[in-house]
Amino acid sequence: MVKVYVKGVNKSFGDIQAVKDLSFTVNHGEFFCLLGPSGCGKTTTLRMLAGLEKPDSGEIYFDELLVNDLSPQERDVAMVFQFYALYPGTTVYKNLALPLEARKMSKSEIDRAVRETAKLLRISDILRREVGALTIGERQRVALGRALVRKARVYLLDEPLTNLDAKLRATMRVELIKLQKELKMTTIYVTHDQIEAITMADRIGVMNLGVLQQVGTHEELYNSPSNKFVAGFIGTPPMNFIDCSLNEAEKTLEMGGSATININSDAVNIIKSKATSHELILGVRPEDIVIVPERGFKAVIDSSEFLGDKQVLHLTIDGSTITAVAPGETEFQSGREVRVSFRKFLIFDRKSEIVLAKG
Amino acid sequence: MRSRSLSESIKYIIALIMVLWAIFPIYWIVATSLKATHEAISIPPIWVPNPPHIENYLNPVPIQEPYRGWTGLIDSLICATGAAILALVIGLFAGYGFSKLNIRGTNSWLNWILSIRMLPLVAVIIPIHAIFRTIGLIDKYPGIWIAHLYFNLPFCVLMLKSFFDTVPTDLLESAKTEGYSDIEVFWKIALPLIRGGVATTFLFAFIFSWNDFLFQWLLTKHDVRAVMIVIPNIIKSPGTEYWNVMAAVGVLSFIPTITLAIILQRYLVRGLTLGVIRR
Repeated sequence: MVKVYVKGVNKSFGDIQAVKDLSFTVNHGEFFCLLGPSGCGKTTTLRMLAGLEKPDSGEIYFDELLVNDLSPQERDVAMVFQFYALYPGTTVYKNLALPLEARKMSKSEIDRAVRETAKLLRISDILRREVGALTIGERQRVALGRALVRKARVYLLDEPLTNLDAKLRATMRVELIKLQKELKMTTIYVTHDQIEAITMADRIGVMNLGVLQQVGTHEELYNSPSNKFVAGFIGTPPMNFIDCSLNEAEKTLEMGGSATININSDAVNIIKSKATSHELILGVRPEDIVIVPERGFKAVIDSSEFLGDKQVLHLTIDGSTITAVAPGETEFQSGREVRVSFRKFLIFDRKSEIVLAKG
Repeated sequence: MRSRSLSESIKYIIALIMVLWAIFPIYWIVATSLKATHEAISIPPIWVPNPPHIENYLNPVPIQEPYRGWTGLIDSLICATGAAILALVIGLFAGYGFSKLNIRGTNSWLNWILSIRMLPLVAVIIPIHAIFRTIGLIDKYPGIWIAHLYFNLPFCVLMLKSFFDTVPTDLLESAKTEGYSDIEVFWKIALPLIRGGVATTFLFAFIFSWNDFLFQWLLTKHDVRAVMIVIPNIIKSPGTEYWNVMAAVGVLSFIPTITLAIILQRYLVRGLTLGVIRR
């Protein structure tokens, strides 16, 4: 296992800059997740770590070793691809054995390693089966097995659970974490699914448009996002964003119409010093919106989605539509007027979209 | 029920007509090859030669120059096999490169290669003849192998590229990360997956070479005489038309291609089974 350093890496394809000035570190045995929407450069990053793409500039180190110019063969990484990439027309056994054959290991060593891995992933009983005859879940395990069968320096996983159904995905998530902790693998996992990232990763790097937005544990990303993109990407349902402007004299944020929020003078000072203008965005998580008996903002319930222990309410406040999460037991009729208040909120600069203050 | 069986029978009748249409020329050439010289042109035609004149195949007396039916067959085999293998080997590397190695300007290269195939053979035969004469490739097997690249190579490159296109890139990259070198990825991973495609391409290239008349006629003299050149040479002067002997050599000329097609049939039909990767 190694520590991975990525330092100021850039990569372009023609006119499109896929990755911009990317830097991060992955520790020994850490489960690091690159999270972002499709086209954000996360897969390109993974491919550069694997040696399948060469960075235009910047450096990648495995411990003290600069790997920029090393071929995938020399880097000794293991990668699981989104579409599993099993060799057609061969057995599961052969698929697991191939990475070891590439390293010219002896037959008996290969046999032992294949059987151990198969046992670990509980695919011992299908070793003789042809890969074409496997279910999608079994294929996924075999693909994983191909990566685990040899001791690589770094394990790279490119959305390995995307093709599974929801139930299988949940099971595989748990098993993956267990394996990763057991084998203390340095793992870099790419996904667009925040649930996967939140449930599995020790730390998450959120990417958008080729730029790493923020790195942190999921608590850090959830509680202190650094900008609007991270705030909106982490959390379900996503954070509500309401345009507002600062009224310095009254120490309030005006959300258009009559709704205003009081903020303290410290916050006003921070906003004044950091904001590009008085044009701001208020960010409130649906779970931080509470229905209150009196005071608070007037809101009209448009609709509600019942989810069992909770329900998602779609509300209109002063013309802006927002979502809120309420306990499941109370029944809310559409069209009803309620009063809501915000338990916590974030204030963003409207132009730079950076978090200015918390409230 | 009745109308269904009626439409079924119409289908069979149409199929039968098409089969007869395809088979009749073959039957006719085989029949003619077994007739005596005067029987070959008799009216009304003789449908079943009796007794069969096997000697047309062996040592037909009336031909003046030494009979070259069988040596022509061997020459054709050497020419076509060599030409097909040469085109296939180059085509494999080129096709793999164009398909998987992100070569700059791949599309322009492919269009250019395709456009070569559109040029008529006669347009290039004179310069090729002149070049070959200078470097001593006239009347030599390698001369024919190289000349046939003219039509075989574009075909092989484009065919094999499209077969390599069906091999998922993930598979090759995954092999690379597992420790296979670029050459091993080509040789051990990609190539075995397109076995069927390679067989099909080889068969077509072989048939193109086998059927070539122009190059083999102009670029050979005595040492190399392909069966395609032997056939018209049997008729030397008017009035001595040995149609039966010509038919016999004609039968010889299509036996190898038919045999090869039967051997490679399962590849031709089966195609590629790459159902493992879900897209």
